[in-house]
Amino acid sequence: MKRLHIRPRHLLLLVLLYGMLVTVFDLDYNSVFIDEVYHIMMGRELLRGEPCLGCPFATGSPRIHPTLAAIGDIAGGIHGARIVSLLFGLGLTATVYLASALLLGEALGILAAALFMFTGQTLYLSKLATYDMTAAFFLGASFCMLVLSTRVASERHRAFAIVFGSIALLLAAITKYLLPVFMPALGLYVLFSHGWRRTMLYCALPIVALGALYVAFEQFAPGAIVGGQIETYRVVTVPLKTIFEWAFRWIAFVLLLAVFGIFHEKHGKRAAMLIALGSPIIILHLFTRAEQSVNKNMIFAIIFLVPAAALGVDHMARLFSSGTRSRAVRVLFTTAIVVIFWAYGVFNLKWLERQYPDVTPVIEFFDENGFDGMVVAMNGWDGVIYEYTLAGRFPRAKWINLRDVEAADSPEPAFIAHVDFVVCEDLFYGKLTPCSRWQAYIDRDFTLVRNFSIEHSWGFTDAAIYGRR
Amino acid sequence: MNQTERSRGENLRRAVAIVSAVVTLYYLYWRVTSTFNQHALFFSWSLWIAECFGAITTFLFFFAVWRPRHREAPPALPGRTVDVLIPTKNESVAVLRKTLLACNDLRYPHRTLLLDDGNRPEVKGLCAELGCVYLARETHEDAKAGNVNFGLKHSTAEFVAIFDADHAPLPWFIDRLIGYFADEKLAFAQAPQEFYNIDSFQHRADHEKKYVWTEQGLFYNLIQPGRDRWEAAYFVGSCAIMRREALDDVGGFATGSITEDMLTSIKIHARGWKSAYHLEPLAYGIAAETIHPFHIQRRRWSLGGWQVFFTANPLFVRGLTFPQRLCYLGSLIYPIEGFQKLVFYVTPPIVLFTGVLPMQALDITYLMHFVPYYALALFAYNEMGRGYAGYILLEQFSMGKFVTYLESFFSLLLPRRARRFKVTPKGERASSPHALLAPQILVAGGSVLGIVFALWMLLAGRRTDEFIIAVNSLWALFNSGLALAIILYARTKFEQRRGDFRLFDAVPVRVSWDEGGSTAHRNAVAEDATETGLSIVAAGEIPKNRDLGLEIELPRVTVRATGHVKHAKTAAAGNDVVGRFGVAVTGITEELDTLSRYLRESGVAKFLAEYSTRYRTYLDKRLSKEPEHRERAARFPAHLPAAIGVNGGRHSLGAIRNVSNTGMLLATRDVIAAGDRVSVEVAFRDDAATLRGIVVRIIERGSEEYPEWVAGVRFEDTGVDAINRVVAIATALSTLR
Repeated sequence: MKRLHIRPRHLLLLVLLYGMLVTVFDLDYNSVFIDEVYHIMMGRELLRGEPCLGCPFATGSPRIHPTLAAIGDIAGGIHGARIVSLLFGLGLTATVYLASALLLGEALGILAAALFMFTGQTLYLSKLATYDMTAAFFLGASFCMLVLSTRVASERHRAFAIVFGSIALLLAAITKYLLPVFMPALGLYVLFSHGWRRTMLYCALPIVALGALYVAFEQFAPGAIVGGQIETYRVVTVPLKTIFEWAFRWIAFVLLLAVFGIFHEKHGKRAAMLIALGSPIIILHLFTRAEQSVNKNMIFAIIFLVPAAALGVDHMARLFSSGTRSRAVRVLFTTAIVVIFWAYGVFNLKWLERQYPDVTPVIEFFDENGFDGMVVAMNGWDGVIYEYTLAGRFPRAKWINLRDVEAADSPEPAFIAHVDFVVCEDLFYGKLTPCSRWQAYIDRDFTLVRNFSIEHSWGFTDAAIYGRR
Repeated sequence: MNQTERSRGENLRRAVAIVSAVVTLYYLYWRVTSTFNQHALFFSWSLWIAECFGAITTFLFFFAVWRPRHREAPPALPGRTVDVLIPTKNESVAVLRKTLLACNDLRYPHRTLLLDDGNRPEVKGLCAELGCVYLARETHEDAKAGNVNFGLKHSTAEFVAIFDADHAPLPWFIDRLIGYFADEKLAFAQAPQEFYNIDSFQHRADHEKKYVWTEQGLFYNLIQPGRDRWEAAYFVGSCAIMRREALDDVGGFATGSITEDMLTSIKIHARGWKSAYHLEPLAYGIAAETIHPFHIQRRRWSLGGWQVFFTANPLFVRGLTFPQRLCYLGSLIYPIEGFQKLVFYVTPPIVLFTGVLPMQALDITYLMHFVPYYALALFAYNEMGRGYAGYILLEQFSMGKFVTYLESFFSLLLPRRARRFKVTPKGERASSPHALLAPQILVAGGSVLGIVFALWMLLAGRRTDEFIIAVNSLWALFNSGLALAIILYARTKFEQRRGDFRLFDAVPVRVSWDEGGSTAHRNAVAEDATETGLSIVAAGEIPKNRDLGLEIELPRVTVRATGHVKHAKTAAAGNDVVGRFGVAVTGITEELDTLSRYLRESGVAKFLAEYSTRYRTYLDKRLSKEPEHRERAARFPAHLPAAIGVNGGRHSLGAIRNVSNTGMLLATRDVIAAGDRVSVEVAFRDDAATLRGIVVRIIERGSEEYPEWVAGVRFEDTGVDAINRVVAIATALSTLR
């Protein structure tokens, strides 16, 4: 009987298949998220050649991910848009495998790819139609190219790898404006690997191209972008202890394993280097104390941390099986650690899936009780969710914020325009503008028609829908 | 590593230890003030106390090994009287014979007294045969201490040397230690207890890397020299010479504990006497082969430790210096480790099953305190362990012993009769009860079940403490790994199949057997040997179940015996055949003692010299300029019989120990020097391959009595075919393992 040989690439295919199946069969895990809608809508406007009013406020170039998401949306609605992220997620996992295999060997490459795929954020962002996974893919590709540049024999190939790495970093940086934060760390990697000339080659292209892009496209004027970024981060700062806990909540386990990687007999120094390469985004959040997207941004650190974590797993398995000399025992411990990591990842995935409110009950309410041309005011800015979801059924419905219809100078609370429904949700989308401000007016002219309790991973929020008396 | 590097390394080590101690104190303070779970105070205190105990033992360890003392043996004092005392109870005659022979071979004038608490006629006969004094008590009170005190009554010598019944001294034992007694205040000089059976339960040997770790290595190689600096090296009951006057001063061997050695040491030091520790193997013994004798031995030690702790606590005994008190305290409190480890082993399953934490939160703040503290503590421990520590292996043994220590504590509550001195059974075929592994099986099982349960709860959404589960699962896995390692190793050591450990060697043997009326001959090499059996390698076949004539060519002497092939394995390389044969020695009488003497004086030392007992720590590697590995051609271990001719002279029988495409390593009894030209013939069935080369390196091995050389030879004027043929047969031989 022919003996079955399992090759690393077969295992990689299994890992990718796992990620694909877990994602594809659960694309409807939650109602569409507000950022997903913004991205798709910006992409639609750009594709149609319409003015893109939201583009200057975007935190990534609307010409990269939003356009791709809009194409996905045209092909398959929100599922299509989410599958675009899945493709980048699978690609990134393969990239992590390649970089890790080049750095640490095939077996550890597979282990790193598996750890990456089992991480909750990877699976979550692979089915979230925002720019995070796209940007992460380009960042991972840039790192992979840099690792490749240290492995190829010819000078020309090295230069090519660095240029491709630079282009990938450029794409990452314009996909999400936050990602140039990795440039100094990656630049240092090139400096220590190749010297200052190649470092210039690697860093110059993104700097020049990014600058040129900002200047060339008026609607992405640097001032507005930088100002918008700073404003975003200023508004959502939290105490240092809180951001510390929030940031590490998403990387704690992988970082713990990565720290063990430092003690790896053969590749300990590489683990330390990888932790350093992944640290800029963590430091940025701690430094700015900005909680904005901290859960999603940690994926950028995880790209670098998982190869170090693979070393940690290998080292731990060696420690745990010490003295037995049995390869089977070592494989058993490696598997056990990976299973623990997997369960941890599944838990995090479930948590992330319920981090944002599932507003399906609200959508279903309007689906049953709404009418075309209705005006719905809400205390949050999430009208786009309903606009996107119910556009086919109520194309002329208006979804506005209560502030937009508030009569500013009136001695009594009043709306300056006709409103058919009011939606109040105080703890998530509407936390900055609680309904209590308008409650007297709502109680006078509206009546409560539906009350919902929305379950999140962090607790419950109530949503109330009021109809005109 | 040169002197400067060594002293830089030592200073750095001590600096690391100080930093680690400070960080540890801060961590423990932070833990007790900021982290306790108010809803699980007992659990919180238990873990904290266990951590504190770890810190205390680590600090005491750092203190003890702060500046180890390495002494050079002073010249022997002539004309002193020495009696050698060997207490025995139930050790076999075979074991005693080797010890008595070794004692008889001691060069310094002495008398050998065997103190038999077993009152056995056959032992009395053995003493008569070997010319030793046989002494036996009518009553057997106070176990070993009482027996030795009985021996002291029959001794008038100024000094007594004491050996356990399984410890055979080298001929120069007394000569190396007696010089220390020029100091009139010196009470005893202690040498390390060395064990040659590196397949014992307490050893972990890596035969490929030629590295062997022993659980007692840290104590004998580092802690005792460290304590010696503080005048606190203690007598370990064997392999020591003691001044009679000092013993009389403390009323003989102390009888209040079943570890009479430590109690005697405390009393001697408390009376102001000094001690010396001489770090050189001067006697070889047998370590506990299987888990059962290991368990008995450690139970005895820890019970004795408890007895000393409660009856002669070094913190309160008058006359000891402060460093001596600390050193003794470190040696007495270690059985508390049983409780500490119990807490460490049950904590993860408790957390995994119940979700109750022994601290407020297991979060990043906790890890940011714990990880640096623990990493630094491990690093400092490893560095201060100077390459003998082996943290993971020590943890494995802690897993193996924790119930033994707990048992010993609770046995204090039992009547005195149940706490009798139990001799560690050694050198016998025996099997161990499987129940001894029950605690480890429970730890492994409980830990794995806890992991499975907690992960299931997490996936089912019934638990939300994912990070706590992850970290405790890793901790539980670590504990399971320790338990599994002990279980797997103990399983291979449940039965002691051979009565004695076979020493790896390369002894030429001429083999002959009857083949249809004529006598067939074959040259072979004994790869390992004892008085009862050999494993031999021959280029060709030797028939199985056939009586053999054996001429074992020891240096300067040939031992003749008969044998019987019990196992045979052969492999072919082209037309050539090589075989490994297990031979039971059946007929050896008069020359048995010659073989014993060779194995004891030369075989053991040669064999152990091949193994490193120390690994290089991080600082060793960083500070040393020596490369860790030298690049050289791949070598194949061979142990092939060869006829070796030096500088065109006549050929004598030797062995090829390994061979590569560029050279070989020869073991020879002929005097040989670097630069000599050698011709080596390896005989096959029909012809021979001749390898020629020049000696590039010589290592003198063996002893004065049994000199041998190992020669590194670089091939010259040798055809590629001959080299390839020998390499091929060596490769084939390696498949027979």
